[in-house]
Amino acid sequence: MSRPAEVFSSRWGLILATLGMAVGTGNIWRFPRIVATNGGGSFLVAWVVFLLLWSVPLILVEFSFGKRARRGTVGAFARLVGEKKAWMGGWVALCTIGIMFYYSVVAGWCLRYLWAAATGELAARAPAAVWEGFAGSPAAVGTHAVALGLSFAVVWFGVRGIERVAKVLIPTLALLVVVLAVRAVTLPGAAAGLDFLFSPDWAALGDVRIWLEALTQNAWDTGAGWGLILTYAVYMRAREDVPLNGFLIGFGNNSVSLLAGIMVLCTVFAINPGARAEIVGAGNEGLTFVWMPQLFARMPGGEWFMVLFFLALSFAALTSLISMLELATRVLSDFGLERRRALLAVGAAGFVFGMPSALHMPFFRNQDWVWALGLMVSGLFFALGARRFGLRRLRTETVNGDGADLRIGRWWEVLVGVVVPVEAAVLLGWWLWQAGQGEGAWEPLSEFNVGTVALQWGVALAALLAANRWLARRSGGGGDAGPAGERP
Amino acid sequence: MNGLDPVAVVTMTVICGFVWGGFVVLLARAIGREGAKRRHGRAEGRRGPER
Repeated sequence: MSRPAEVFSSRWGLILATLGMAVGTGNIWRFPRIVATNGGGSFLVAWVVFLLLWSVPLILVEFSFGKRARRGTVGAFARLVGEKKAWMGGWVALCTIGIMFYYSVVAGWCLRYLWAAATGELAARAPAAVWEGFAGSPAAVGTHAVALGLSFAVVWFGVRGIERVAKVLIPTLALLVVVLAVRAVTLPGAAAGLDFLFSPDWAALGDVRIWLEALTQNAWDTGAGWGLILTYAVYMRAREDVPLNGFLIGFGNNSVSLLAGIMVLCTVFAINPGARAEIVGAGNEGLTFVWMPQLFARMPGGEWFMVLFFLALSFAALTSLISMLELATRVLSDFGLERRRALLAVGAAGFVFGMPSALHMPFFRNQDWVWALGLMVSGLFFALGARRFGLRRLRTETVNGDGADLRIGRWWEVLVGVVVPVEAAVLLGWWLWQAGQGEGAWEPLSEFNVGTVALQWGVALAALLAANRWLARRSGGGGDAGPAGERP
Repeated sequence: MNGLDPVAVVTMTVICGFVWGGFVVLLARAIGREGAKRRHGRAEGRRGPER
């Protein structure tokens, strides 16, 4: 039969696991910084618009591809879009696996800081000194291995293992973020943070950069277009809803982002308003691992809230890392590898290929630039794939199929068929044009430029195109398996 | 709220209301639909998780 032997035991298991995938460090460390540097309230308006114009439509495509094909990304594209398009699914998998290699390092940092906060090390030493001594050191390889090992242990027990862990970690994470946000807004001076976060500068809405940053943030923090939702949808029950679950994931993820923005910006404005420009300009790692511990240290009872903050960050990172391991394992299983052997191969590769990012920060930043940018292409491939399959057919048979709790209208076909491809093309064009300016822009061995992107994408695309027939034969085949993947 | 610009209050209400309110409404609908499906399943005599 087409469907996998294991499925999520309930709707709530699927929703919590998928929310765990979507809510990651991007919600907690990236969102507040991006809002603060892009006009506060104006950015939020654009961010809400793209929740509806990018994230939710693509989440529905991913859910329906996974439910219908009952294969990982490569097999799903081969089955639904055509065997000649297996490489597109390969691209989606490659980008997310490329992110997995360094994301495990980030999860390791979070665990290291959780330990340092819990043992009082962060309170006793200057956080900047802790960061300088840790990032890029052999100790970061150790924490990378611990994060990978923890996620590996969860995926080892299959989708039921993922479901059980999500049922504990995600409600706890939500509670932690709410507690931290409430603490932050009750600090004296926190109103200035809310004022900054929600005061709109209407003129800024005329700046294309604000809109593109809002689209990028939505793409990164909802996980739309990564192939991760598709992977979990492989394990959906046959009569499971698609549209309501899709909307819930998008709105649930963005709800956590808003709470994180309130938590971080109110803390910054209440504790050290004079340094706010420096704090939000310190980058993701600088804000989280250098500034936040300093701010917590100056807050009454801050040592406890610091532990809760890093606990929330660790949970967010681990639940996302788990989904990335599952994606890679699913793809290898589709190639015919026994599941646990596939996971062992993914774990070993994750450790080896994550080491350069753990040991060398410029390499980490380069990988973050190259593969995170590749997600725009992944989103575009999903939209084009759905268009080629037939948007009307996908909507009526699978999105609105058996078990659907909402009816999705033709507007979704317009969004996926026209709006999403235009958004992706404009975003990619703008980004590459920006990066392509100036001397050395095409130097292939630089940290951030068009040259390094062109080199790494070019090698990946050439390899995928060359291997397309093999990819299709090993993982796809059999054609479409029906609206809920029920036909053998 | 003390110290908050009135425009910021309006923006905060609209954005938080849309995102959080939307999430709560969707969650309530999912809970309701799931309960209805379970009752319907029991009425049909089906037991255990659906595959």
